[in-house]
Amino acid sequence: MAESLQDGQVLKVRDLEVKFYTYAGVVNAVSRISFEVYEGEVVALVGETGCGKTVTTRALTRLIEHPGRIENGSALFKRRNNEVVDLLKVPEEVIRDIRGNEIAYVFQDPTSALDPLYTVGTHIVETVTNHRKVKAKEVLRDAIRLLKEVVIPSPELRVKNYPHELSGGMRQRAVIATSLSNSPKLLIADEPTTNLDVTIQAQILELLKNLQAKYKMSLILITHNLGIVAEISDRVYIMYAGKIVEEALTTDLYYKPLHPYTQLLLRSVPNPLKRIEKLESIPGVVPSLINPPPGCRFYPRCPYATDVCRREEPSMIEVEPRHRVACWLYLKR
Amino acid sequence: MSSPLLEVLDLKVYFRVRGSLFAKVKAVDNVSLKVFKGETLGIVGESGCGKTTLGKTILLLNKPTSGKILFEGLDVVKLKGRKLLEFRRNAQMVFQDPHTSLNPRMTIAETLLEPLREHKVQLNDYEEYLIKEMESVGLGSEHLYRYPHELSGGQKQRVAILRAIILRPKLIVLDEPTSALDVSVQAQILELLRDLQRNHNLTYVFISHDISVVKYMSNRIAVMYLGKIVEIGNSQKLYEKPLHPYSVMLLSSIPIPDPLVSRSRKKVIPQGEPPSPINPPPGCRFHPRCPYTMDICKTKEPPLTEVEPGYYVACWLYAHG
Repeated sequence: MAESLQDGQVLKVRDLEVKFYTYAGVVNAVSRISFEVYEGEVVALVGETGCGKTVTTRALTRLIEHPGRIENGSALFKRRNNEVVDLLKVPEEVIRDIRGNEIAYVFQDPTSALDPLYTVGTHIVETVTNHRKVKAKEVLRDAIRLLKEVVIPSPELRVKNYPHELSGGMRQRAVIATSLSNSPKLLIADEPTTNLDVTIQAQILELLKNLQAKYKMSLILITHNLGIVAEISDRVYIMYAGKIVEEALTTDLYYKPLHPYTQLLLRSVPNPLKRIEKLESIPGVVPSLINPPPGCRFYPRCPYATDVCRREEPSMIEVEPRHRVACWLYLKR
Repeated sequence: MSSPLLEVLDLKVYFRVRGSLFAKVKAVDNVSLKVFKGETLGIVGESGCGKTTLGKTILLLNKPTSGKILFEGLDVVKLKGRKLLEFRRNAQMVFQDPHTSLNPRMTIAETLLEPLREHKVQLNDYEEYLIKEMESVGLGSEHLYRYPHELSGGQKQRVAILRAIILRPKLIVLDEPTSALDVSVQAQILELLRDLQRNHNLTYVFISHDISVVKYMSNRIAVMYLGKIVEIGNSQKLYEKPLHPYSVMLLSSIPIPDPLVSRSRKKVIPQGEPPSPINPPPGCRFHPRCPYTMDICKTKEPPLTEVEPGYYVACWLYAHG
């Protein structure tokens, strides 16, 4: 293997590229992105609708369906037995064994993530028995413990409930319990609180934070909410139009944003604790990913755009330790 | 502040529950509030608290079960014929999702002309007028003969906003106008709404679950819980020192986009979930989730009491007697 994992890394993605072959044309959903996740770390993947954040994480366990295709790249993952595999190249049986077991997902909409015909307990039992040879009865006992862990009241009764008998917040808790049932090394939470009310959102975020620490797992959190990012992530990747444009520790990103997109994005969110005279808005719209502009993808909306931005794509450079950005402002020509 | 443009008195909106003779959803229960000319009143609350029902009922899109809605002093529930038409012209709404609030089979021009025709507005050159109006909300004239599906989400919401203001109403109810949009577009729309308010002297009722957005937009804020207003007053005060335990919980739930602040602030992690509005708990509806519940809270409903001029709270912690 050409590349290997460094100390403490769980996942290392290099040059991942995903395209969708639609009737309208080839959509460059994810264009050669690289990132890594360390053990016990909360990484946030931030961006607006259609920037490729969901596709990126789905590609990790090859959940990309027709007409999408993973074109390029590697995703090294350190398994429980410390074996390092490339998730994009291993045989299908291996990826099936990893998915839902060592890498688990929590999706945005808990209602569609749960099968309406099965009880909460069955969901958990199925997730476990698919990966380990254990008796369903034993798992069911474990399921009650898991439901207790995600703070579902009277778990002995809830385990027999069907999804429609639970509220939205409870459903998301049940989904989280299911995803934890195999004690994954990496949990991917894709907008886990977008459909929920703020008070429930606060509960779920608190829960994820506690569980992440307790299970010592790594967490990739996908979100567009910069408040949530500030609250729980250690490190952030900012995505724009299928590319990662900035990578930084959370505090650095908020207090010293480098990329013009990040700067504008941060100024366009109202902070209720501050008196704001005028919100900054980003002029224009996200470019189509069918024929993305050459050069920097943000240049049509960028206040600092120059000629070089239009012609050539900026590469990622490390401006400060652990703070990287892809922008010509910081590249010496 | 001047006289109220809109005054809601003891408004109740109940819905019958299908398959049951007696059960009713008390979506809005005994709500009274005033909206003054030129201000923005924000209404916040979790889903199912009745904020949308309240907004729609103000515009008579729902029939109130009882109570009064006074618009410039007239009870609009009793209006008929020409007077009712005039009220409809003066009070408009912008809905949450522009994908569904615009008719997919009508071009933008048709959508915008409909209110003008309905209210028999005479113009020399409709096309020229529409183009000028579209420019005022940041839409190019090239969109005039396009269909909604050819527009982006932000552009569609601009059309929906223009449709609401094209008759120059006095009051606009904005029901989550930016929650279907991305943050960068959301900021554009919020700024547009503020500009329009200044230029046309509009009064807004701004409904949203996003408290940061409501705070940015509103002069005063009403916090709703299970069909009731629990706190209403100046937005700055409400943020700095919320009084009702529910407001405290709601405000501390908002994630703050500032890592050092959000990690150091004292947080009240909310307990439980809002109960069903079909059988709300007796007494104060918040008492099962409230950290300060007293005996009186379980039996007697707290009245909305004025604790400071123009600032009201419905909680036994602040009510006297």
